Amino acid sequence: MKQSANKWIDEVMNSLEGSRRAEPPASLLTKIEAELSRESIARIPVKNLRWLMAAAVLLLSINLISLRIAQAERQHPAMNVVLANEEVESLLPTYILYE
Amino acid sequence: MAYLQNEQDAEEVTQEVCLIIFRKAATFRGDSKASTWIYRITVNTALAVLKRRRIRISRAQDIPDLPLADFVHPGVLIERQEQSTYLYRVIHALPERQKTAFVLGLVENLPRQEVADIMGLSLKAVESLLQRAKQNLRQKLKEWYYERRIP
Repeated sequence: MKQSANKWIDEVMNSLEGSRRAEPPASLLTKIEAELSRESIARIPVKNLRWLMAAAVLLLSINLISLRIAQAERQHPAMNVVLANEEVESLLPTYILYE
Repeated sequence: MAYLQNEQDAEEVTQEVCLIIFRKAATFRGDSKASTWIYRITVNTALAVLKRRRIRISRAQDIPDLPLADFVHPGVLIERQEQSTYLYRVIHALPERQKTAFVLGLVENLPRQEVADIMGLSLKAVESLLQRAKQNLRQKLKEWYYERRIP
């Protein structure tokens, strides 16, 4: 009895000899690829996100400044001309020096 | 597959492991072999799945853990399939660390040093785990033989 028990135990313990590795079904690879592509679209690294935010803020600031300048020009159109004239006049004596 | 003894769980773990590798590949420092790193992730993920399964079963049936239905590994030779179902049953009942060492060292046939690296243990500790695992398996099979009068 003891001998047959030991024989059976040995057989069971050695039952995995010569076995092959399990292979996944082909459909699993498709599933994993789909999951990975979804993952790569959904995930934007935080580092890139910071640059994106900084660029957006910069762009917004430039737009706001341009808008304010445009508004100011529309409200006081003559001011720039006067300023320009004053500047030209103040420069005139300098030019005369080199004549 | 040998660890989880369930095809669906094995697929779930394979999928999860691929995603983890994809996310964490940049953090791999190359201190160990890539295969060791991947095995470690796989073992941890498999353990997490087993834990989830235990919680699910105990919640559903109020039983701490159920023995699995006869598991037939698809890679086992046909003439040895019957005996292998007994072996897988007793492997499932092993303590966690003995089970991990046995599956990696004697089912997956990985070198002992790699098993030690995966489990974060010394070579001596792995040898001792394997020794105890074999003793436990033989003991359980013996009890089973006399209880059920197999063959």
